[in-house]
Amino acid sequence: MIKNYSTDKIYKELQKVGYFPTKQISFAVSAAINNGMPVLVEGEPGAGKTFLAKSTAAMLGLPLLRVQFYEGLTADKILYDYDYQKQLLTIESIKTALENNLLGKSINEAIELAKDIDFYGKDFLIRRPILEALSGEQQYVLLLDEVDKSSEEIEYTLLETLDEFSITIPQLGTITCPKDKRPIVFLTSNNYRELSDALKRRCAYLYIPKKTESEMFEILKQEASASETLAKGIAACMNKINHLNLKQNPSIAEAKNWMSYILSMEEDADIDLSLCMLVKNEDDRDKIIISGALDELR
Amino acid sequence: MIIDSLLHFTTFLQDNGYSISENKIQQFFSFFANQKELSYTSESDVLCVMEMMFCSTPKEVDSLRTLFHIFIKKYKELVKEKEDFKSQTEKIKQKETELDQKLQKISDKNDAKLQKLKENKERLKSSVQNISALSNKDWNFLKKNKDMLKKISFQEDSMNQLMKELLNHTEDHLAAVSINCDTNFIEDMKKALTKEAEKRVMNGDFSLLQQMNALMGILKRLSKNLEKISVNKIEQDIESQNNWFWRQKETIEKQKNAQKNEMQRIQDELSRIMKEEQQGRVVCKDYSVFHRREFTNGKNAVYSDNVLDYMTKEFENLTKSDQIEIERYLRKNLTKFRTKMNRRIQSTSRHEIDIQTTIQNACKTGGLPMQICYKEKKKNRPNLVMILDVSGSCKAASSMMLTFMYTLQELFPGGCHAYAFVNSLYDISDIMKASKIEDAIDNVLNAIPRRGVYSNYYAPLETLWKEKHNVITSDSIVFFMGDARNNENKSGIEFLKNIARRAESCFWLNTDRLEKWGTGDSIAYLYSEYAKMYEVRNIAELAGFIENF
Repeated sequence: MIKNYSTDKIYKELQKVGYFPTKQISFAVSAAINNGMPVLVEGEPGAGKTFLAKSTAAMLGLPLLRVQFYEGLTADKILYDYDYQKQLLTIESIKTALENNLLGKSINEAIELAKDIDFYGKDFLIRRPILEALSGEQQYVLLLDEVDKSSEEIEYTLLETLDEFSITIPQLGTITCPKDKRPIVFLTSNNYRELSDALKRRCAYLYIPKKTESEMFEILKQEASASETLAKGIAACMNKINHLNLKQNPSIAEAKNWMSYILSMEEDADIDLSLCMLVKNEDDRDKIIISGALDELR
Repeated sequence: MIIDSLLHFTTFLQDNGYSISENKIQQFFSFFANQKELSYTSESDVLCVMEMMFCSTPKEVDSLRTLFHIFIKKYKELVKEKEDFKSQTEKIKQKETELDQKLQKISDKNDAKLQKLKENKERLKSSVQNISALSNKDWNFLKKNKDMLKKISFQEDSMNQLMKELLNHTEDHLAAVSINCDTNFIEDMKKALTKEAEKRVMNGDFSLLQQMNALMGILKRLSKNLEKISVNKIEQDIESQNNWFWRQKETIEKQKNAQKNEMQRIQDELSRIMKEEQQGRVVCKDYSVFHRREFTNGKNAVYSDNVLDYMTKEFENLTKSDQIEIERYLRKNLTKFRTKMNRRIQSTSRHEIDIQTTIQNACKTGGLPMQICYKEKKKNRPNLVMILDVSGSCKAASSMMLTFMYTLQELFPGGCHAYAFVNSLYDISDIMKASKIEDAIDNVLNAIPRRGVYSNYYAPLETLWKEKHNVITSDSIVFFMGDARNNENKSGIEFLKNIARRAESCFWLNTDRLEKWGTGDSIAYLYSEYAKMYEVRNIAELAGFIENF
């Protein structure tokens, strides 16, 4: 288990991997690393919730396991499943051997013998992401993305994992993750629906507010090819755009793409044309052009 | 000390609607324990960790800092109050000891005085014990020799006066009690009498000598009698002294009692504060942002105080400010409504095995069901179609309905269509989508000519069925809103029938009072055959309907 990551250290290290944390963020990551608490991250779309998990994984040098939640997701897709085909094939292949063995045995003896065959052992278990994270062979950063998109039942199946870092499989018993291999867990939510209290109680809570202009500038500046003036212009521009009450507010990731697109454009091209990278909606596009937010870049 | 106050703060937060379990508090402290460089004394550190551990919605994060400052202010006040009380008790104790000392002094003084008086009394008592008052014999003597004694005159008037008194009172034996004299005076009188006698003897006048001699004896006895009277006086003095002492004592006792009461009051107050402190209810709850208790009480919405007023107010009576309040209320509870409605809208069917297909597939693998097929979930993409009567009678209700639906738009993945009519149908979906909620409703109402036209249900129903019927699919939920008062026009029931058949479900929210349905020009019962009809006359009913439909 990775230990002794102080909040200051986290703050600096996250910056090194290209993420700009606030004090709150570094505290929350510290809770995840040092206290082993799952962190529930909420914020506007594009606030960098998913990216935080990615950056933490990069900072710690751990692989990231990402589970995308959606409506209709079932527990056997994220926790574990039994390899039904393998079970079936195994039975087929040992059928003759079994028949030979059982020849001339009484029923009771046959049952005793059949007991030895373990059809629900670990061999037949398919590790879905959460079981994989708890298996103890490797420490992971586990990202449960957009938990609010799935139904409430799925939340409840997660409780045991969040609480004890274990999964109880009825046929096999409880699998508990060794302490030093416990995954670092992030959950994200867009507040599409209210998460259950039971889930919230088990998590530390982090709300990532919208980025301010200066924060945006810091982030954009980090891009390798970016000049400072361009980054500043884009940050100012994004700030204006965010106040336009658009249907879809462009996120930082989009702003980054936009910036690199502008860099790749020819010098004298119309900057209006680059908006295809930023807005995905006719009305929004018109709104931005009319508002004159792009003047910041000219 | 700091940890104490932090614990108090958590209870304060709970009073303000935060849900904080003991587990969370434990985690809060263990976080600090794990991070050596953090300290409880740094406000920003503590607030950061609190935001993380105690909050669960962005709203809570927002209000945490304000609450913290309010708490600190109140906590300081409380500490000051406590100190005040403590100093007050000190003062009262001091006063009490002062009073005690005073009382001691007074009683000492009193005791000394009483002792003296008593001694005096004892002494006098022993001396006058055997002496009786002027005897009858003396009085008889005075009576008999009245005329003779009158002849004796002294130089001083007061002595003459005494003589006169003595002689006047021979009948009632009351002399000397009322006479203003004391033993010294009588000694003087005795001396004067001797001088008088000597004078008379010198002049050879022996006529009064015997009487004078007797008078001398009487005076002697009188003097003793007077001494006895003065014993009575001392007794009186003692009594008055005692009375004075008791009065003093009483006032002091009174003061002491008052002090004691004050002390008791302060101690009560102090113990109340201590108790509250122990329970953690340090700071009163006059500041409450949103009270969780109100919606864990079986209700799923947060009502602010005045919401309840307009919740049951009829639509027509709502003022502009009420409407703004309602919008605010709706937006505040949006997630709640959404979660609740979501449960009803989204299909709840489980992951089911499709036995038929599984067996069919098993045929390919020699009877072994290698591939298990699951039933495909029924795609549930409801869309919403609203048809609103915006004529004068239903305008208020319709605008509230629009508000509701505007906020819930994104719930319907299949989209949301809205139409308004008075006597012909207008598509208002675009207005709804394009503008902000505040303007949307006004824009809608402005876009439709309403002056001088009366509601007609036939034309809009016809238009909807003939021209817009592609909007209504088997996933549609159709709402009509209106009072079903058709001004004697054709009903258009055949169109409604078709619409209701095609749509998944069809509702009619009637803004008319239930008992008025079917009276006058109302054709509510006709429509209610195909569209489930509900009486909706205020926000509470509307909200209730939307939660449960």
